[in-house]
Amino acid sequence: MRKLIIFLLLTTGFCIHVSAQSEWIVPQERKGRLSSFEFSDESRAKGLDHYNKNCASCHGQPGAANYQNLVPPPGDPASADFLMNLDGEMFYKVMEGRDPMPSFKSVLTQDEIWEIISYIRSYDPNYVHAFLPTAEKSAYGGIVSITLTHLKEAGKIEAKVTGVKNGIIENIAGAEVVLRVKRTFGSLLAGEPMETNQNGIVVFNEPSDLPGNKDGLLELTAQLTNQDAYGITRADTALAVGKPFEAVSLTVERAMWNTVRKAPIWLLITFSLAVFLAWATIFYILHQLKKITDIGKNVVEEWD
Amino acid sequence: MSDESSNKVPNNQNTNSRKSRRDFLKSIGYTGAAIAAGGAAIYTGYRYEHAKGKSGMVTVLTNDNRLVQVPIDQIHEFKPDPHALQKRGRQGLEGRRWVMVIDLAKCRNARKCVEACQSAHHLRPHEYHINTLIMQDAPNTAPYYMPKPCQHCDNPPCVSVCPVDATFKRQDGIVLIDNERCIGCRFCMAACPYSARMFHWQEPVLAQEYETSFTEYDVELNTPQRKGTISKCLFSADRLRENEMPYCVTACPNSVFYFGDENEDAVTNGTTKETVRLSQLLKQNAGYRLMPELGTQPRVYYLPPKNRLFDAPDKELTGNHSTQTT
Amino acid sequence: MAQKNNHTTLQETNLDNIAGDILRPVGLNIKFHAWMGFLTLTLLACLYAYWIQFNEGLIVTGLRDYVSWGMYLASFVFFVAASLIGMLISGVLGLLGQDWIKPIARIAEIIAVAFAAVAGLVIVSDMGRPERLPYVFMYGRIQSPILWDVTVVTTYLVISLLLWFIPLLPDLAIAKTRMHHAPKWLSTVYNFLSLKWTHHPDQYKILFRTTRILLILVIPTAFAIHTVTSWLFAVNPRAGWDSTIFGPYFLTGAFVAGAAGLILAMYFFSKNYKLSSYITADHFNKMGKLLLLTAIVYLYFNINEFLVPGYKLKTADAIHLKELFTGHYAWLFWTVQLGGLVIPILLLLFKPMRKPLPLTIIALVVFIGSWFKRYLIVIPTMEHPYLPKQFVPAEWIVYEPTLIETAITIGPLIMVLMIITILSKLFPVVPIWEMAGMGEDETNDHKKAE
Repeated sequence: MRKLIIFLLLTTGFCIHVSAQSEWIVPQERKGRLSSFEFSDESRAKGLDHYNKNCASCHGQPGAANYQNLVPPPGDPASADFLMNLDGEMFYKVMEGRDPMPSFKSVLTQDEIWEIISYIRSYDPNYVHAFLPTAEKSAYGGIVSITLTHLKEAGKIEAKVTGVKNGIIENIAGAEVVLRVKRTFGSLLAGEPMETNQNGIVVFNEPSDLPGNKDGLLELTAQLTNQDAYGITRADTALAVGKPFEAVSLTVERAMWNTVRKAPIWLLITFSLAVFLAWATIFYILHQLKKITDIGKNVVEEWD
Repeated sequence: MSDESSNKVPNNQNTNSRKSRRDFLKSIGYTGAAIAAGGAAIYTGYRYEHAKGKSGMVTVLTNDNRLVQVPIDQIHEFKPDPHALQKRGRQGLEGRRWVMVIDLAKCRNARKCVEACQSAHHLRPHEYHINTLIMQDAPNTAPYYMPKPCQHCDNPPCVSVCPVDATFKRQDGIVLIDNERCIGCRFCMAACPYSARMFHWQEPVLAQEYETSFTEYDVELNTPQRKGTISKCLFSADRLRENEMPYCVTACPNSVFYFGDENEDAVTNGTTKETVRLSQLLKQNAGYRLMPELGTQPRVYYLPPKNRLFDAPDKELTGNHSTQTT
Repeated sequence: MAQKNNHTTLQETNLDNIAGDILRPVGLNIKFHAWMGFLTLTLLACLYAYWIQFNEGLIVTGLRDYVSWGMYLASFVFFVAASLIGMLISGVLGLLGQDWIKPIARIAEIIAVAFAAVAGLVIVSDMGRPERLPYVFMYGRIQSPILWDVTVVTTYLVISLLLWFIPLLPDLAIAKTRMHHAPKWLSTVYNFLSLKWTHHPDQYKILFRTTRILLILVIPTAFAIHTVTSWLFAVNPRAGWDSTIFGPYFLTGAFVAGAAGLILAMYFFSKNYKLSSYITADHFNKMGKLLLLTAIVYLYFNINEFLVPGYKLKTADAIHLKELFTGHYAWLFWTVQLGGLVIPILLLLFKPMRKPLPLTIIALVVFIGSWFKRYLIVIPTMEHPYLPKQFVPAEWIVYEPTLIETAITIGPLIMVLMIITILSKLFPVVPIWEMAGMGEDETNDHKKAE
C-alpha cells in the first residue's frame, strides 16, 4: 500500500514536471502587458540585431526551424506555437527565463526586449499591434528622471530621482535604482540595487578599482528597476569614478616571439657578428684564390 | 688590337640602323597612343550612354547598416585593399587585451562551439581550431570535458620559432596566422604544447567554391583557407572588430564561455550575456591556466569543474582515442 | 711505425707512379654511365612521388596534425649529421697534426659537401608551400632556429666546398697533362679550375694558409650547424626533446654517423678504385678506433638522455620512455641502441674487427642504425603531446610513413650518391701532391713560422 502511494506520488510528480516543461505558465497579471512604444521598421531592425546577438544561438533563424536540440526544445520563434503567446507572455519569458533558457533581465533593457518582440511579430501575419498610450506609460503618471553626480571627496556616486507631474517637481522616494558600468560586451553591476531616501537620493560607492580610461572615466547607466511604476527611466553619464588606466600594448617588449624589429638586442648582435665574421673570412679566402691565379699568371709570363 | 678596330665599323652602321628603327618604333608608339586615346574616349561615351539607358535604382546596405537606394549608373565596383586587411589584421585592436574564461563545471560536450567555429572558418569535422577534450587529471579524480581553443599565450612558443613572421602576436594579445605568408614548415605545431594548431594537409573543404567565387583573404578570419598552410583559432578577430564575441562563445548553449577585455576587468558570458568582474570570477572560482609550468602565459583561463551541472563523462572516454568522422 | 714507413715509401715513389695510380679510375667509363643511369631512373621515380605530393598536398604522407614532423625531418637530421665528418677529419684531426688522415681527408670533404648540399632539399620536401622558400630570405625572423639553420648550413657548405677545392688545385695542375683515357673536355675543365697553379712556393704558402684558416673556421661552423639542428627540437616544450644536452647529443651522434659513412666510402674507393696502397689497412684500423671513440662518447650521452628523465619519471617523460622501452617503439629502439651502438662498441674493441671488411660491415650497421636513431628522436615525441588526442580519425593517432613518403625520403639519398659519384669520378679522390710529398718545404716553413 505504501509502495503504491509512493508510486502515485512519484508519477504525479513526474507528470507535473513534464507538464511544467512543456507549458510555461505566465502569471495572469503579467500576461496583458503592452509595449511602451509603437513597433516600427526601426524597432524591428534593432530587434533583429538583438535577436542575432542573444537568441539565435539557441533558437536559430526564425522560420528555418534550426533551433538547438535542447530539453525542452527552444522552438522556432516563427512557429504557430510560439506566436500564440501574447506580447506580455513573450516579454515575461524573455525577462525571467527558465532552465535552460537564461533570464535576460540583467542583459537587455526592457525596450530592447520589446524590440526583439517587434522583430518576432514581423513573422506573424495575423498580429494586431497594441501599445500603451503615452499617458498610461507608467503608474506614476508623470516624467521621471535620474541625475548622476560624482561626490569626489566622499568617493561616492549620487543618483537623484526626480519626477515632474502636473508641472510640479518632486523628489521620488523608495524607488530602486540600479547602477551599471558599460563594458565591451555588456554592462557590469556597479553595486547592489538600492532604494532612494526621502530626498530621492541614493548613494553608491564609486567602483574605484574598476579600470576606466586614462582619466578613470567610466560610462555609467543608472536605471529604475520598477518600470511598471515609473516607466523606462535611465541616465547615461561618463564620470571619472574608476581607476585611471593606460592600456599597454602586448607587443612593446623585445622578445623571442616578437617581430625582427623587436628581437632581443643580444641576439641581433651575436647573429650579425657571427655571420659577418664567417663570411668575411670566406671572402678573404676567395681573394686569396685570386692571388694564387695572379702568381700563376706571373710565373707563366716569366717562362714566356 | 685588330679585332677591336674591325669591330668599330659595323658598330657605326648598327647605331644608324638602330636609330632609324627607333624612329619607326616611336612613330608606331604615337599612332598607337592616339588610337588608344580615341578608343578610350569613344568607349567612355558608349559606357555613359549605355549606363544612362538603365537609370533604375538599386537598394544597397551601407556600412552603418542603413538601406539606401542608389541609381544603378552611379555604382562603382568596390574592392577592399588586401594590404589594408593585412595591416589592420596584424596591428590588432588598440587598448585591448582579450581574455577568455572557460567554466568547466558547465561543459557537457555539446560541441556547439566546435561546430560554430568550423562553419565560420570553413573546416572539416576533424579539423579543429577548438576541440573539446575528455580529461582526467588523476586516477581517482572525476573526468571532465574541456573545450580547448588556442591559448593565445603572452609568451607564445609557436610565434618564437616561426621563420617568416607568418604567425604573430598582436597588441591585443591575439596570436594570428597569415596563410599568405606561411611556408608550411610546421615548426609552430611542434612548438605548441597545447596541440592547438592544425595544418591543411589537403585542399580545404571549400576549395572549389573559393575557385568559382573570388573572396579577399581576411587574416582575421583566415579564409579562404589554403592547402599547405597552418590554420588556428583566431579568437574570432573579425567578430571582435565588430564588437561581438567569438563564434564559439556565443554558440555555447551551456554558458561555458566568458569573453572580455582584461583591460576592462570584465568578461561577458556568451550564452547568458551576463557581465562579471574578471578578477572576481577568477578569484572566487579558483581560476587557473593550462600548464603554467611552461611559462607560456595563456590568455585563456579555466574554472575547475566544481558543482558541475552535468554528470561527469565516463572514465573510458579519457586518454587517446579516435572517432569516425567523414 | 707502419704509417711512418708507408710515408717514406710513398715519398720515394715518383710522382708519375702516384698520379698514374690515383688518376686511373678518373674519367667516364661504361660503369659510370650505367651507375648514373640507374641513379637517374631511381631519382625520376622519387621526383614523380614528389610531384604527387606537390599536387595533392602532404595528405599523401603519413603525417597528420599530431605527428606533423616525421621521416623527412629525421632524414634531414641524418643528412646534417653525416656531413659533419668533413669537420671532424680535416678540422679536428688535421689541426691536431694527424698526418695519416691525408689520403682520406678529401673523401671526408666529398661526403660533407654532398650531404650538406642536399640537406636543404630534404627540408624543402617537408614544406607545405615549397614555392615560398624565398620568403625565408625575404621575411626571415632571426629569432627562429630555422633561420640560424639555413645560415649555418649554407656557410658550412661553402667552407666544405672550399676545403675540398683548394687542396685540389695542385692535383688539377698535375692531372691536366696526364689525363690519357679521359675525355678531352675534362682536361679543359681541369685547366680552368686549376687557377693557373704552377706549384710555385708562394702558391703553396697561400694554399697552406687558407686551408688552415678554413680548418679553424669549419670547427665552430660545424658545431653550430648540428647544435642548431638539435635546437629545432630542443626549443620546443615537449617530452623527449626538452633537453639541455641535445646539442652535444646530436653532435656526437653525428660523428658516429659520419665516421661510419667515411669508412663505407673508404672501403668502396680502396677496392673499386684499387687505391689500397694509399687507403691502407692501417687507415681502417685508425678509423675503427675513431668510430669506437665517438660511439662511446655518444653512448655516454645516450645514457644521460634516458637515465636522468627515467629517474624522475615526470608524467610526460614517463609516457615517452615507456613507449620507447616497452611500448610501440621498443622493438626498433632496442635494435638501434644495441645493434647500432652497444654491440659495435664491444666488437670494435678487438683489433681483428677493425680490419677493412669486418669494419665496413660494422660501419654499415652503425650507419643504418644512425638513420633509425633519428627516426626515434623525432617521431615518438610528436606522438605524445601533453593533451589527449581525441575526436580525430584513427590514422591521426599513430604515425605510419606511406610509400610516397618513403620514395621522397630516398630521393635526396640518391642525389647524395650522384654528387659523390661525380666528384669522385671526375676528380682524384686522394691528394696526389700530398702523397708525392710536394710542397713539404713550404709546410715546414709554415710550421716553423708559427
